[in-house]
Amino acid sequence: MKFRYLISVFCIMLGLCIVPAMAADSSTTVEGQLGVTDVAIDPGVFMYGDSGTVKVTVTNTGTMPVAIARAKLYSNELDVMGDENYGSVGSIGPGNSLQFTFTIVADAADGIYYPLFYLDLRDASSLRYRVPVKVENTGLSVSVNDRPDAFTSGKKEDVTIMVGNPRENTVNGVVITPMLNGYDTTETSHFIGTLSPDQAADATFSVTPYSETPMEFTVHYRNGMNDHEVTTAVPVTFGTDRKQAEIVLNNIVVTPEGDYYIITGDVTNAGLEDAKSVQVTTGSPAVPVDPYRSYVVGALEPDDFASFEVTFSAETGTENVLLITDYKDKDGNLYSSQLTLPLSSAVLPGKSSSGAGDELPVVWIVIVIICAAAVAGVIYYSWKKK
Amino acid sequence: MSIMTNIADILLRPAAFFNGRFEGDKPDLKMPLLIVLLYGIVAALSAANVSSVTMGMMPTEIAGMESLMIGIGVFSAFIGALLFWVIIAAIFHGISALRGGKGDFQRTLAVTGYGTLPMVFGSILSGIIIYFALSDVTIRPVSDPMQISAALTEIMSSPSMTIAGVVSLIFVLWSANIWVFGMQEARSISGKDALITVGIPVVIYCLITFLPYIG
Repeated sequence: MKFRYLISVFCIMLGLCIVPAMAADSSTTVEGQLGVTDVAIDPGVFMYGDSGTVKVTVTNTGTMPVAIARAKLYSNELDVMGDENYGSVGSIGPGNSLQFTFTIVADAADGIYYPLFYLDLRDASSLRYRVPVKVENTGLSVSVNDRPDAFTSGKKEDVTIMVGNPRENTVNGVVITPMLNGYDTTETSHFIGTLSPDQAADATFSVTPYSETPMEFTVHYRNGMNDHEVTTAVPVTFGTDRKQAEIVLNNIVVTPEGDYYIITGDVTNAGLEDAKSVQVTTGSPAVPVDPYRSYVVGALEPDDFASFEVTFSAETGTENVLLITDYKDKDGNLYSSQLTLPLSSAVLPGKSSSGAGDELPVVWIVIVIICAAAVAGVIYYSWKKK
Repeated sequence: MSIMTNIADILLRPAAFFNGRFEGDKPDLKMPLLIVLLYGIVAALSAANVSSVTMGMMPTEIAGMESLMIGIGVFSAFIGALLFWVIIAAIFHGISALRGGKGDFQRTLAVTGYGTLPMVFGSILSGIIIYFALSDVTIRPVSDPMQISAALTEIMSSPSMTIAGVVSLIFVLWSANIWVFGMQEARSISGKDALITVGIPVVIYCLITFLPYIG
């Protein structure tokens, strides 16, 4: 009897031991079967003021459904929005996942922040998880990769803009837009698209400056769903392009030819770039006349030369005439240079034309005297012999 | 009487040459015509030289007509010599008639023809002078007629051309001397009347010839 009593006491004590153990075992299992299996942050790295999303995926790896009261994301530094959507979540079945998306605004200085993901369970337990969020305000790097040594007003030149991504995350929608402040471009914009971290892309613009205002180019891009822009300026200083074609005229001879003049000479390209459509003609007060009103030399490569011949007429007394040389660069920009030629330096074979004798030859005078004497003698003789 | 003697008499002893030459009704015009033709040929050669120079100034468009233009110049000079003979004879005849001259026109024509002989030598000499003067000229094509005129005036007023004109006039005076003796015989007028008859046209001719050089 006593043994049977002891067995009863043992059973009771065992039951007393098992119930709390079972109770304690029940709460541990509910927490343990839930876990954060994925966190997605967009954009990967925030810039100051950026809005983005934090997506937390919770998976029930247990065999029993787990009731969830609410989900929240707590942060002292970042503004969190959207957690009111998860005030009453419901339950998550075994093997299922739930994704909680929160909107955050990065109104904080550069750094790494750890907002707390808090999952409140119905059985008075909870799940906590810290989500690392990076904030870095470094924008895209914009630089001028290539530009001429000097600009010329109205002359088209190429400017190359390079955009680099020094950030840790990819940015997209990268577009370079010329601001057209004092210049024109052939291209209205240049689309680069996605720039991965530490990647760079460049774009070449054909620009035509009209003033010495720095040419501004703006790079628009998106970090996540946030628009950003960065502007760079290309300084514009008008001057002589050291590489441009340079036309030199020499060996010039002005020769009167009847009622007009002929100018012959050589035209040389002393520059470093090709001179296209080289033409030589005369300007006021000279009047170009046929057969060579203007002489088209054509293209001249650097250090190349060609002969030319132009014809013109000029009023009597004209002292100087203009010799005009026009040429174009590869973009069709027209250049013109003028050279003043004194007509007094002209070779004047015309003077020799009056060589019918500007000087009175002595021999002719002698002949006249002899003739006059002979005729006088003959006349005298004829009257004497009458 | 040989031709050479006749020529010497015309040039040196015109009084002796014309003495009694016009006693017949019809004087022989072969010799005067020959002299005038010779004068015409010399004038034509000189004209050819000047014409070729002038053509050098013409625009290239009419340069192909050079032969035609020179031909016209030569023909004009030759015909001009013949016309000069007739016209000067007519003038002499008219003036001498006013001075009481008698005798038909053929006599005057013969006198004028004989008297042209010194002008042949004068034309040869002045032609040579002109030839050498123009051989130094560099001719340029000129399209403006005003410039052609200016260029020709420039050439014609050059000293060498003036010399040629002076030489020509000296020989005209020699011809005038012959014409004076000839007109006395041909028109039976006094020496004074013959001098007036010949002197007036010759002076006018000299003035016309020399005015361009003076002016």
